[in-house]
Parts: sequence; structure tokens; C-alpha cells
Amino acid sequence: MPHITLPEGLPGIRSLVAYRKDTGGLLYELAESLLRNDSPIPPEERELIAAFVSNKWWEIDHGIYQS
Amino acid sequence: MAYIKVEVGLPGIMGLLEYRLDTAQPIRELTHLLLRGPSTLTQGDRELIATIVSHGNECTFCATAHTAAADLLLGDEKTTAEVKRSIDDAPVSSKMKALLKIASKVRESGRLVMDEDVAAARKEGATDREIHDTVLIAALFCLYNRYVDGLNSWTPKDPEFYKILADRIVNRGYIRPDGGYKNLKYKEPSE
Repeated sequence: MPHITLPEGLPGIRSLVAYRKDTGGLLYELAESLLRNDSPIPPEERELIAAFVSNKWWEIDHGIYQS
Repeated sequence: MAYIKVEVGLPGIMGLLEYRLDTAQPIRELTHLLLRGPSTLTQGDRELIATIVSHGNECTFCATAHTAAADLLLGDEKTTAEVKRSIDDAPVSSKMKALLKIASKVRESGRLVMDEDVAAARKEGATDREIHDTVLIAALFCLYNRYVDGLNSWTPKDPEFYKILADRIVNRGYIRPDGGYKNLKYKEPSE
């Protein structure tokens, strides 16, 4: 259950962006620039950085993480 | 010395924001909206959140800059000092204490924020929007702190520099000045 009342039917960050569209739109704009715009690092490797950074808790939840 | 080549004379976040203008723009606009835009939290309250997060992350540049900005907005230097020492004993409202505690947890990990933390803030009158903005400001300053220190940005020691910077972010906000920082380039006094 989210800590605040968010628009229903949208998961994760999408519900937060919908809750406050002005700040949410800027977050998406930043993500688009960093992850999709021209870069010497291909998009798949940039997503790999994002996935790696986000991963620790998923591993803890699934009993995989070892410090 | 920063790990990458940034414009000479631009310390901390300033050199990084000038390094890449396309990513800087949404970061700046987001900061301006969250810290200076309409809110039921005062600008001083919001700078306090930025201060406690930057202090907790031990980002000297951001902690010093936002302490100076909060001091200017709050009209004293005691509040920021006390908040850093102990949120519970600091001279801020019970609502701000609860929100600062949520911000401190977000700094460490979003997963540490418990229902009880949010219930405590609500009991002191915090709204959904205030809780949302507290979490987003805390997350945004984690971005700043890691951006500045991850690239080892230049952190001036001269307190005067931070006073000038604080005056600017209090009175002009976070939007890029026309022509960048030409008028705000800084040279550390020789020791």
C-alpha cells in the first residue's frame, strides 16, 4: 500500500508521476535525456546501469543478496 | 579537482550543470519547482530538508550551500545547527520534525520509511502533498550529493563563497542565469 493516496491502476514511478505531473514530467525529461538521447554509451548499457543500481533490494527480498 | 574537465572557476554543482546543459535543465527546473514553487511548506522548511539530507550524505558542498540558504531564509543560524545535531530537540514544528525524519530515512533508503513514520507526520498535520514533496526533495538531494561527490567536484573552503551562493539561490532561485555563471566565477583566496 502506498504511503499517500495515488491514482489507482498505475504501478511504481508511474503513479507518482501521475500524482504530481509537473515534477513528474521533469523527471521523465531527465531520464529521456540520460537514457535515450545520443550518448557514446548504448541505451542497453545505460539501462544496465539503472538496473544494477536499483537491484539490491530485489535481491534481499528474494534471498539472493550477500553483503 | 573534479574527475572530469569542467569550466574553470565553477565549483561544486555549478561546473557540472554547465558541463551538460540538456540534463541540467530538467534538474534545475525540478529543483526550482520543488524548493521555490507554490507549497504549504515554507522555502526555509524546504531548504532544511535539503540541508539535513546533504549533511547526512556528508556532501560538504551541498550541505554548506543549503545550510547558508536555510539560514538566510529562516533568519538565524541556530535552526540548521540544531537540526543537524538532533531533529527531536531542534526548534522546528512537530510537523517539520516528522517530515525531517522521513527525509533522513529516504536518504538512507526509501525502504526504511515505515507506515508509523508517515502516520506520525499525518498526526502533526502533514498532508499527502507535503509528504510527497518531502520524499521527492530528499531523493533529489541524494542525486545532487552523489553527482557532486561522485565526480569529486571542487569544494571551496571560503565561507564567503557560500554566502554569495546562498544569496543567489534565495533571491534568484535555481534557474540558469542568462549566459551561465560568467558573473559568479570564483577563485579561492590563496592561503
